[in-house]
Amino acid sequence: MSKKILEVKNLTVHFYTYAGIVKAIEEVSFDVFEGETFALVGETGCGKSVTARAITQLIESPGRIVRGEVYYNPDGERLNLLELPDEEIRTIRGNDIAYIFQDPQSSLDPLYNVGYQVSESLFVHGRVKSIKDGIKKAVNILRTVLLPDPERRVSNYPHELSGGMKQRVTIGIGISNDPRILIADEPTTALDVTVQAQILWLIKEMKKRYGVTVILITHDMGVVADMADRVAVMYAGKIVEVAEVTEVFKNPVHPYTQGLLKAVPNPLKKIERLETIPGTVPSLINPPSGCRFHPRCPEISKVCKEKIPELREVKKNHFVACHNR
Amino acid sequence: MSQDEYYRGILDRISDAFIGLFVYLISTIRKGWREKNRSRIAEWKLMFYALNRSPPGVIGLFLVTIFVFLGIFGPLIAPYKYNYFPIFENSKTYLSPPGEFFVLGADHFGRDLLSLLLQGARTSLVISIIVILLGVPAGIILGLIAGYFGGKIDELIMRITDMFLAFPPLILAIAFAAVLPDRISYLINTYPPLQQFLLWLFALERTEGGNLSRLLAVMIAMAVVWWPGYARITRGSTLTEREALYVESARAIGLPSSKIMLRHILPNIIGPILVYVTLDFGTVVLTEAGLSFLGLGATPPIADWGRIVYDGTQFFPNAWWLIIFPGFIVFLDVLGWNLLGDALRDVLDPKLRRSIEFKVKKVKKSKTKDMEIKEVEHE
Amino acid sequence: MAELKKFLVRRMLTFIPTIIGITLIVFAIAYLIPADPARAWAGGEKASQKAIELVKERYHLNEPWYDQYIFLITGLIKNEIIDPRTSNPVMDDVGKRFPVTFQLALFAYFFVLAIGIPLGLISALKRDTAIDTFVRIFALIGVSTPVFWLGYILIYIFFVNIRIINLAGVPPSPEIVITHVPVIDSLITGNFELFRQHVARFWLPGFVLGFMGAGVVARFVRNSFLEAISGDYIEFLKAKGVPKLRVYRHAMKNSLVPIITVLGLQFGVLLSGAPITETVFGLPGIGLYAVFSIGTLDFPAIVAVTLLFALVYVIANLIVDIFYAVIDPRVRY
Repeated sequence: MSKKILEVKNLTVHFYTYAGIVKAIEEVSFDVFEGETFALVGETGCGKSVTARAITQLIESPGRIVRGEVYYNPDGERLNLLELPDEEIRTIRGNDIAYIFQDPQSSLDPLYNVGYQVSESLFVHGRVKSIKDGIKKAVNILRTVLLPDPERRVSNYPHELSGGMKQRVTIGIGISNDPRILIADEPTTALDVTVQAQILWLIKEMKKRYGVTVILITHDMGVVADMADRVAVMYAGKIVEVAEVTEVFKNPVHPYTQGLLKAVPNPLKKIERLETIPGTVPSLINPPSGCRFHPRCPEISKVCKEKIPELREVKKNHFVACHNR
Repeated sequence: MSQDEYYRGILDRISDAFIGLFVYLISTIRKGWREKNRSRIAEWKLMFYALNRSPPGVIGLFLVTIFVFLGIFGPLIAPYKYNYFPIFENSKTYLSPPGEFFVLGADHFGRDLLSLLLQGARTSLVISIIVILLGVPAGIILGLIAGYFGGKIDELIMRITDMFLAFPPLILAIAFAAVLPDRISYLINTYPPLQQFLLWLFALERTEGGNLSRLLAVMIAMAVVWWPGYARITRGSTLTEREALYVESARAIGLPSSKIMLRHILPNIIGPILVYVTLDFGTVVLTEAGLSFLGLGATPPIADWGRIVYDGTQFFPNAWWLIIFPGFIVFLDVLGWNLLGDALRDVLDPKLRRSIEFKVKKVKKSKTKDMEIKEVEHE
Repeated sequence: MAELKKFLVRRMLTFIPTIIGITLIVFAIAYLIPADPARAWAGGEKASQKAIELVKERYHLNEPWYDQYIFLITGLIKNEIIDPRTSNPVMDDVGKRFPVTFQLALFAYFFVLAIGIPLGLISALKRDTAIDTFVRIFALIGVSTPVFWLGYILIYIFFVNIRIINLAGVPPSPEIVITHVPVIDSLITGNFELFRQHVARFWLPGFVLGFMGAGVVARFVRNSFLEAISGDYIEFLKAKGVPKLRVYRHAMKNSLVPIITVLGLQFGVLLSGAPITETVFGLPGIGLYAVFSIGTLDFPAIVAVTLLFALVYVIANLIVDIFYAVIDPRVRY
């Protein structure tokens, strides 16, 4: 197995709101290996996006990174990203670790043309001398993300492009500095179904061409099956299961993962009918004691209410946080 | 912190009592109102709790209460009558400085400035209320009609509204205020009951009948420039509300348009408009003072804050009290309405409001027994 | 560019009904007056019947209202109407006074911008701190302060006590007239002594008039900037690794659209507040002229002032529209 390019250890983020402290993610740990596609899966509000953003300190007030380390291991170095000062983490963002966000409609500044915005991401990392110089490179980048007629499109404004085209532009911005890691936060959720497949194909293509490591955040198990090498399942701010993608679909171990896979069509298994998980996602202000899934768990035991389960390796490369396995 | 909580507790109880009284009064008139509107009453209480947690809001409410109180009782508690001229008895009272004959000094008729300010509170309050009562409903109705029907009617109403908005309000009010008195004095003289009612409203003596027309002219002039703003915001909210499902279903069961507008749309958009009224009340007070400062509106001996300053400017800077005190009173009055309106806007902002309410509930619950806390945790 | 021109022409055409409507409203007010203006203009109570008839003839007062209206408006535009009170062509009187008011409004506008925008930005960047609360209170005090009160307090401080301003007359205009606004002309022509005099005479009234607007603008800038900075594209910019100052520049530009609307409206508000400020500081401007004209039933003057205000309003709106079109590519021509 290749080397770990990113190690996340005990990452904890809280939001200090009027209503109380929202414990968005608690003690999240995982590793990402170079060249793989790592998927973070879970329901809306389970902390996937917060995790992704916390990696490069992109947490805004009232949120705060309370604990944890994120080690980024480019060639021979070992940097704790959470300890870097503002200016240094800025040079990492977009340059070493790039993002694509969910909604391309609002990811682009409506007042600048797309050429400017691609060129800007080159300029702020010193790849071109001025925004103007970058426009030519921007045309090439937009061509690689298969934006039709890029020479003309660079002078278009975001409102003149369709959603799919905009997402191509944000992917172009993402890969513009040849990053080591690309974090795609629900890149297809806001798009039409037909466009979704094209965008996913494009991300795969970019991965092949540039060898970039992809962290894919999604709630869509179909996307996971299509794209991911390994999967981490999150529930209520904690990771409950980490394994290779086939392993997760074939032998899910955690009761939540099992429930989740029964609720969606499984590409590897035939199921008679879809089931729902009883109950609702808990409040993150007063999360349940012990295992956060226990109020909804079909196999609850006494220890579940009292002790927080740790991630344990139940099989080779298959980690589960559950007392009963 | 606990001190704070203590005072808030008192404020909460006062507002509860106030709402209780209000509810009691309504339910004596309309039987069963209380039972029907339980949730609405609870909502009101929560609104007050939220307001009680905003210091500017409490200060604003305090100032507004004082000025409304003075507006009602000012003329009654004033030490002297506004039309009592001490100068005829003692020429030394002419522009006597504060403390010499009267606490706040005297004007060029030797009149007690404090009494004039108290009487002026009534003038200001009555004018402001009437301007709001004339201007706001007119604006709301026009805005509702424009927003609800749309099309040509909308176009026509909004064009006219734009014209009035394009106009510097003070200039238009000046024009109306200068032109109207002649017509109005005829009207007032033909209907003695109207004259008597107005005299009673302004707490004036019978001899001032002739001066009423100028006061009335200012009110009408201001109402004429006041409605367009309301027409515009009402239209805006009506446009979004018109598409709502409840309006569609009301239309589907064949309710007449007037009923849909007044009984269904209006209650849903009235909140922001009321906040706007609160903020605007201060502006009305300020504009009225400005107009009478320009010599329009009230004429002596009628006491009016702006007019006192206007008359006082001839003696500036020697008789500084004639400018500083009335101006400060206007400032406090307007500030009170603005503070209250600003706080109310926060209270009506759902995001902020929920968090405040949440805290209120939590405090209340933690005060009761532990049992309940456990229950909350279980949820 | 050609598109922008077309757009502007179209916008201007829609303004014409507004201007006609406004003048009609004022004319209607004047027309409704039961007082006999002809008698007043001919010399009051003692005027001879012949003189009154002459006045009526001259101002078409015997014609139907629409004739009177057209006569008045075309006469004003051609500057053929003689003011019955001053015996000057009306537009000459107005033209003499308008630069004073315009200059006052410019000074006030300077204070609105110079105080309002920085305060708003600071308050947004230091959100929920003591500075933010201060700006909020400053804005509330600004809208609550009677202009005449603030004016007299400042006169008391600067004129009566330390005597560093004067309140008499208005400094002369420079000989070379370019913009008709003395303070700008004197600066362009390099007459710095005159420029200093104008600034010395106008800065305090300008501050008083702009005080209210500064608070309003500060609050508005704060809210618009916060709204812009919470946009998703700002987060994407940060994720792109864009430095802080550059991120703020994006946010600034995005918050500019609503801010410009308010700034455009503010200019009208300032002109509207001019009469009181001019009264307090003894400036012979158009506001004072309007108040006086109304008092003496001088209708041609009132309609002329109205026409002028409407024009200024329309032009301010047009400038706002141009700014929109330049800043925001989404504005369709």
